[in-house]
Amino acid sequence: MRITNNMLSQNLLRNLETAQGRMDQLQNQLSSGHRISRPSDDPVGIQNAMRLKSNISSVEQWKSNADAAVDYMNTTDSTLGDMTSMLQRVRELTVQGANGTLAAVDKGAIADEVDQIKEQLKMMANTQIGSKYIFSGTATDKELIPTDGSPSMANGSPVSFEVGNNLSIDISVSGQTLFGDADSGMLATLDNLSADLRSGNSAGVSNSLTKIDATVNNVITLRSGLGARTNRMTALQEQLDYTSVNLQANLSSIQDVDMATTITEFTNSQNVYKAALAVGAKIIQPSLVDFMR
Amino acid sequence: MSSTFFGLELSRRALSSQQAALNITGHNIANANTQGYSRQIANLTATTPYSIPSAGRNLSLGSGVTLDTVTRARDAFVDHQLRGETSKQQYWTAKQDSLTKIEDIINEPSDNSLSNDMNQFWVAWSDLSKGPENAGARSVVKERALTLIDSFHAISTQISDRQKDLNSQVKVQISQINVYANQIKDINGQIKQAEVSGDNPNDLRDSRDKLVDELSKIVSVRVTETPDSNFTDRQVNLYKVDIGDPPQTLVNDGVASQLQGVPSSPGIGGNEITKVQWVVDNSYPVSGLGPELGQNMGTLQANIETRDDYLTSLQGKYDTLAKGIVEAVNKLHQGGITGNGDSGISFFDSAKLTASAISLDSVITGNINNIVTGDGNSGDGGIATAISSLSTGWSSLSVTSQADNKLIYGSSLGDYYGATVAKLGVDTQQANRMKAGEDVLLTNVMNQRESNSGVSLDEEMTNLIKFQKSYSAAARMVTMMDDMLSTIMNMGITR
Repeated sequence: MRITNNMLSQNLLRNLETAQGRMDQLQNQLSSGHRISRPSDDPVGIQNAMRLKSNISSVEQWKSNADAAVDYMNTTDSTLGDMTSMLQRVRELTVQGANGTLAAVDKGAIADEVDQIKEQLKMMANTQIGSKYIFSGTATDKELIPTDGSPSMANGSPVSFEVGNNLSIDISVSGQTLFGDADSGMLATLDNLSADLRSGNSAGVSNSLTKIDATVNNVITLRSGLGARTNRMTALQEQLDYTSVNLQANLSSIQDVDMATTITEFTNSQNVYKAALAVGAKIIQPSLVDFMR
Repeated sequence: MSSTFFGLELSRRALSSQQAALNITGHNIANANTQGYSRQIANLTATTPYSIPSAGRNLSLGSGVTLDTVTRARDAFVDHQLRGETSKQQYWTAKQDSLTKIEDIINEPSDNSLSNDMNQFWVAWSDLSKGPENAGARSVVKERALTLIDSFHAISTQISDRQKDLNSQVKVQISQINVYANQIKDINGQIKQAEVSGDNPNDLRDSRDKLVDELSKIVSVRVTETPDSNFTDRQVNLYKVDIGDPPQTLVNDGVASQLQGVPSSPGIGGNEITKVQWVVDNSYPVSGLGPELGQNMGTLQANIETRDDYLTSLQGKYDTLAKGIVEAVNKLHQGGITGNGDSGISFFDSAKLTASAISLDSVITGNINNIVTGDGNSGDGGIATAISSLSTGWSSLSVTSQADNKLIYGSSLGDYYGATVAKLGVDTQQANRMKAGEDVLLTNVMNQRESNSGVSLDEEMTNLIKFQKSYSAAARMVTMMDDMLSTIMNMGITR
């Protein structure tokens, strides 16, 4: 083949461009840390990467939902704990009050304490986390037992947090189940107890004891139900953490650069480029002109 | 017996022939870096011998040299190959260019991409579901929705702009083809004039070949050169340039056909699309004929394909995606009740179902409290949860809508978009690979042409010395003849 000067310089230029293009690509990968920076780099990879990114953002949100749920449930739990001990105190008072020999004054004092506890429980019925009334079902902006005495607008619907794909967990305790209705519920029981104590109705006081036991049981049952759900939520939190780590690892293996390989490749293409430059400098310069006098 | 001055005449011919050859070498050296130049060769031939009788028979006595022709080193077959490969290479180059720009437009994968905005949008709903009474979470949902809408609008506008851009490129290419056709026609005339007078106009031919090379970047070209039957005693050619596949006449020796751009049916968002048609003339007597561009040949075809098919279908995919989001979100949103007890409220404007039009319903932009989260109770986030779960699939929709959506979008909206992006990736990758392959082929053919037609300075230097030495020797011959003539002149003179 006849070789001309133009061929030499054009081929050299093209080879230099190729080597530089390769270096540019590797340089981009190394400095961004990503193997895929545009769809054509790896069309299959990018589809997986997009799916994983979408999954990761969902999982992160579920994690944040689960964290909030656990806080919410823990607050509810401690409220229920306080209620239990207060009701235990009421039970003690009831046992005391049932003693027929007790003076009316003392019974009055017991009734006063029962009233206080009732007021306290009434306040607890309207416990808020943030701006949410936790015992009002989904009517979180309404008090369970309105302080102005108006009828309750609360409901018994569960408040659910989304913590997984099609997985919502009820994080609330129904205030309606907890406090019962106005005639026979927790507060009515305490009202009756207080009235019986004041009127000296010992039989009534004794009767209240069974009712209070039932109320305490009710609270404990609800609390243990909540506890079980809290446990489940905590387990989900761990699971979500684990899933998140896994997804991140998958995403990384798809889109991130394998530094060792890429740096090796980069060094390699750098050498090719240098060699091309060195050879080019040698090959382009001389022609017969340089040797003619 | 030959004349006394025969030797002088012989030397004179040698001197002028060698000088002409030196000039041609100089011309080659001067054009060593000229695009499209083919090296010229001085064809020296011995002149007709002089017949002298000698010893009863005739002897042919050489009468010297003359410059017979100047030819250019050119291989028509390599030209044909080169133009074919150029057309293919340019097709894929233009395609790659367009697709790479589209890749830039959609900007996947990055944190500023539509898929990211979609994820953020779904997540915002999930966040709202856990605190529906939270005005902050509500406005986040609205803002994320606006960001998503902006992304749709931006991509849609850019696709439309790209189409406009390609359309103006097509217009430019039409006028380029016309200009080349006219220039080739003009050069044909000049070459013919030269050929009729017996000349061999190498440099004009180079210019014409260069124009055809340029033309082959835009459309595929086929050149036919046939002897003109009107001239039998000398080489006069008819030069015809056909474009496209099957070939259609662009230049028929002294006649150039022209193309025109006809504004036609609207493209994306009412963009004007220029259709390419032949101007009516003898070759194309019927109006409305378009050039046949063949298969994967030339930038014109690449631009027209991308403009008419690729961008339109891509835009269609974004429209479908926008429609899917609007309809699915609205269907769920309408099933809930606001805090004020209103129901059937749309989140997105249900009449705007394209990527360029998608927008929030005016009720939502007016008051974020009209964003529905559930059954109307302030703490119910059921609807918000249902909307956020659209990120993973269709399970929150009714059974019939699930089936409908699955048919169009597959397992989820995100997957549909992922597939769209992957398709673009595959197409761009194909264009990249085809271009890389064609680059190599084109380089090979170009090297073949360069090997044949290119100027080698070493070779020219060698020729330079060769001709210079011959010239000096011929001059020496003149001196010698001069001496010899002096000897004759001085014969018989006595001192």
